[in-house]
Formats: sequence, structure tokens, C-alpha cells
Amino acid sequence: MSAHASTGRVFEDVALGDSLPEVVRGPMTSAHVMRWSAAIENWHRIHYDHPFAVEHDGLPGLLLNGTFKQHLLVQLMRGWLEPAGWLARIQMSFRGMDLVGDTLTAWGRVIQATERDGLGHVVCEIGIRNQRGEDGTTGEATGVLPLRDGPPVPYPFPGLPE
Amino acid sequence: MTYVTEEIKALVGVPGPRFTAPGPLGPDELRRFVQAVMEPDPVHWDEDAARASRYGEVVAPPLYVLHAASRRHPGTPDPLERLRTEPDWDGLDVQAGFGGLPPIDVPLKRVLNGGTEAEFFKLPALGATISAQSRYVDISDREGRSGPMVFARIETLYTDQDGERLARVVNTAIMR
Repeated sequence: MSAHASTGRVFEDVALGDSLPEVVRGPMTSAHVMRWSAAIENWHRIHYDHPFAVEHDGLPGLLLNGTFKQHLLVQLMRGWLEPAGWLARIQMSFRGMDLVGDTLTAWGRVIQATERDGLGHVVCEIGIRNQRGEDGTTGEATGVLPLRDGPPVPYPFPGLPE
Repeated sequence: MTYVTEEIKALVGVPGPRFTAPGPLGPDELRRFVQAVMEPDPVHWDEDAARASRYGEVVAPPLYVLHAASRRHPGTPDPLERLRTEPDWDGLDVQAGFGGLPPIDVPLKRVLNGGTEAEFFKLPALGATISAQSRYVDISDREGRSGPMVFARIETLYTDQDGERLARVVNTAIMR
């Protein structure tokens, strides 16, 4: 039995084109948004003050926080990589708005898998889709997985090689 | 014509002030954060699960660092006082996204979030005191469809009380 068999995914388990298990949150209500804004001490009114968002900023409704969506993509990646793997890098940009009432589905797909220096490097295309089918957030993430008979991923992680 | 003058280019690479969280990461703060972000991994609250993991102790999720060092210190002026004189203020401190760096002096009003990139080294443990220090890594401009745009890439390095690297985050601010 290999060192990682009972402790999670290893590099050999991964194939190009694999889909990650989706992470779904929602429908996101104004209560979820208020709880989040208070937890991070962010007082931006477009997230909780409906008249301000619509009448002053001309938005179609209360906006879901970009910061919340960032964490959702991190949860998607770590849920798939850990406990044996490590989320080394994540990149995302916000192209569209998601509103209170929307359901967010974080998705990912393996687009590159290479072995480097005794560890597996997996690049995933990632995004968050709402129930209208809009991918308002898209990006890319790199995870590091151990090889089945290889050493564990070092922790603290020293960073990806250039 | 360019907005990015030699004076603005000289800002690149100069470290800004170091910000430190008002105190060590406490269990109640972490509990509220983990519940609000709807994080399912028990290493963020359960000591037994954390001990059995590579972390060995309860840790915060990796991007928690984004919210730690910007928290308001006790006894400092209330930012919401601004609403008394400026009732239409949107509640957002735009400069906070610039990590205390000197502003880029260009005649462009809007600041948009052009994306985030993060690298992770270590998760902040319960009791960690998190610091953040930023610098511009690139400032450039481009002619967009609606006029000129300036792109500022701001790198923030997050460390714990032992100076260990937790995360490196690069945000792109788009001014237009």
C-alpha cells in the first residue's frame, strides 16, 4: 500500500479533462451577504443597501461580494486537492455581476498535468456560473499533488518553481 | 500620450507601510469568518481534525489573510462618521485596495478590480498575528474603447509574527 492511498488524491488519479466536483452556494440571500460583509468589516453599501445600490449606483440589485466568490474558488480547489495536495496558485477575474437571489456554482476542469521534481503539477480552468448560465468569474489554478510512491508535498510550501 | 510618467514609474518596487492586524487571530473571530464563508473543512475549527492533518493545529482558510491586516484597530476614528457629512458615500475606502501605497496621480475617476492572483505558502494558525506589506510591481497604460486606462499591479506579501510567508497576492487595479 502506498503512502497516500488512505489520505487522498494522488497525481496518478488525475487525467486531462477531468471535472472537479462542483461547489454550489445559494440561492444567496441578503442575509448571507450581510453575514459576510460583517465578518470581514466591509461596509460597501452596494452589498446590503438596496435603495442605494439601485437608485444611487444604478445596479440591477444587491451585488454578491467578489471576496466571497474568491473564497468559493479556493474551496473548490482545496476540496479536490487536500488532504494530500496543496493549492499553490490561483488566479481569477470578475467579468460579470452576480446578484442577491443568484445561486453560485463553482466548477473546474483539468487542462494540464505534468510531473516536476517528484511532484505532480495540475492546472485547472476554473469559474463560477450562476443559474442564468453566466460565467461571471473565471480563472486558473495550479495544485500540487504527491506521486503515488513519492514524497509528500512539503509544508510550508516553498512556492512553485519559475 | 501617456499617463504613466517617469514620476509614476518611480513608484514601482518601493515597499509601502507594513500593516499588522489589531491582535492575534482568535477562535471567535475565526469561527464567525469560517461560518460566513461557508467553509466545510473541519481543520478550521476542530482540534482533532487539525491535529490529524498536515497543519497540526487549527488554521484559517488561505485567503483569510486578505481581511486580517485591514481590520480597524480599537480607538481609531470611525470610518462611518463620513456618512454624517457625505450621506451618498458608498462606504468603500477605495485607497484601502492600494495597501497604503502613494496614489497614482492620473485624471481618471473610476477604479475597477481587474483580477486577483494568489500564491499560498502556509495557512495562518489560530493565534497568528498577520502583517501585510504592498508594493507596485507594474504600472502601465493602454487605450481602451472608452478612453485611456491605467493598469496598476499591486503585490501584497502576508506574513505571520515569525516573519514566515503565508501568501503573496497580486491585485490588478484598472483606472479609467
